[in-house]
Amino acid sequence: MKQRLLFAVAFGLLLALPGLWAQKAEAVYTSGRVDLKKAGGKLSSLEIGTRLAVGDSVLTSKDGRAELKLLPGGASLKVRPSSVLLIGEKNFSGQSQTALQVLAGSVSMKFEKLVEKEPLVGTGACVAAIRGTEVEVYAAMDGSTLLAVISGAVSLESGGVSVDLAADEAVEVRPGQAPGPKFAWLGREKDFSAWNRGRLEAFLADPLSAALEVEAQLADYRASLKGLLADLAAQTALYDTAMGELKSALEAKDEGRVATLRKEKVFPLTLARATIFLNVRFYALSALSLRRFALGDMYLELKSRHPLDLAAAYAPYLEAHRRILADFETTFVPQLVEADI
Amino acid sequence: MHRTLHPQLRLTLLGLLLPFLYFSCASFALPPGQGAVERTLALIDSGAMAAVPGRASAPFLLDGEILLRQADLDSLWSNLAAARLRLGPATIVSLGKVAAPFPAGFPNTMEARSFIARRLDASARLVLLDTAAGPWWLILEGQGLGGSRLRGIGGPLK
Repeated sequence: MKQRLLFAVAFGLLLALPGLWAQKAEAVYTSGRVDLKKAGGKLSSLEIGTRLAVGDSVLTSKDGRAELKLLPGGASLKVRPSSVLLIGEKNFSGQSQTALQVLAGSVSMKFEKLVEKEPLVGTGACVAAIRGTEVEVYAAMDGSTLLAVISGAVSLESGGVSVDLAADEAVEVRPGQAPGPKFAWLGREKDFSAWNRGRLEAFLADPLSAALEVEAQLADYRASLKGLLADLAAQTALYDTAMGELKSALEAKDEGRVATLRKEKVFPLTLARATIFLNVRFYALSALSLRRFALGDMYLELKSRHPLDLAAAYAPYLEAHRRILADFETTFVPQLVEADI
Repeated sequence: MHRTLHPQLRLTLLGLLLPFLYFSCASFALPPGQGAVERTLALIDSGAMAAVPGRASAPFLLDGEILLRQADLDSLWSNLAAARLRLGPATIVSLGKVAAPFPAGFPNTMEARSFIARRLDASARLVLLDTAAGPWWLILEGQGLGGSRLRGIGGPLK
């Protein structure tokens, strides 16, 4: 209950972040069925001209395609069929940055010109910083990522290891693991379905290992979250003290002190808490993405193949699945709201 | 002077009005009954997965997992057909609103809780089945007058 209250207060703090609720992208083209899931949870059809904000997701069906224009800067995001793109936000190196997360399927991103702050790109399992880039991002059913650089440069981090990619280079990243070796990219659109099918076959051959990789990635998110929540609690204690001082100054009608406290303590602490909370949300939503689009897809594949004998055929996998879900419920769900789901 | 409409005219007007009311009130739906459950089960057991109403209605609940993408639903039903899922002979143990108290073993994930709270309309019904494969459940939602669509499936409950 206390955690829920803290969440509600902290969520309100996000309003303190300038530009957070600004529109981040606009739909400039759609074909087939394309849905928009608003940050508030509402599902609707994505129409051309619709503006998207932080927390919104675009979902394409098997015949659906969408093109978004990023605001500002005009970068082009092409969402291919059977894909999910989340427009998130993360505080990175002291600045809040748009984080474009390909949760499933594939998205091509092209930045026509350098903008003031280029977004982060990634999947539910990794995040990369880009510089003047055209990049292809693929997310497989087991949470694996394939990132290919067409032009520009990308710095990607996963499992505590960074890799720098130049034009015509690509890398595959498994959840919770260090990036694989770089390889040459042939400069043409990868057959995503073939790659995803390969990942599916690898999963079916050894589902337990795939589940354990997702568990390792979630453990990384849990560690980041734990640190952030400790920071948030510390900042909240400082904020409460500052608010106590402010109340005393107000009661004493000491206008000079009130102004000083507001400027030097209350506002900076409000902003600091909001910034921390932004990253709390980022990790919680990344965990949710991985839980839904990797762990959920894994479960779907096994359950639908063995609807009547799943427990007998895949007992160790099911045990891991249940353990991961139980941990997700206690670690990440308190940082989520129903609308996120 | 009080005037009444001719009975035949009244019937004609009613006949014109009813379709208008039906089509103008898209959210109006009757809760599915036993017949809808039996029809759905018959389609599943006959392997006619493509004919199951709602098979492509995302979001869909599979045990404790929300399926958001149409591609996932396609995989679900094509795999279930290939696995020759048969739930029959099945008896309906209960058919009621999708609300607590849920049967023991019913998924209690945030996905399931949120799906029930946010993605179903008032006509949705939870069906508990006693099948040869153990207790299974279905969620059916009304669609228009007398129609229904499947919104979730899971089991066996333990």
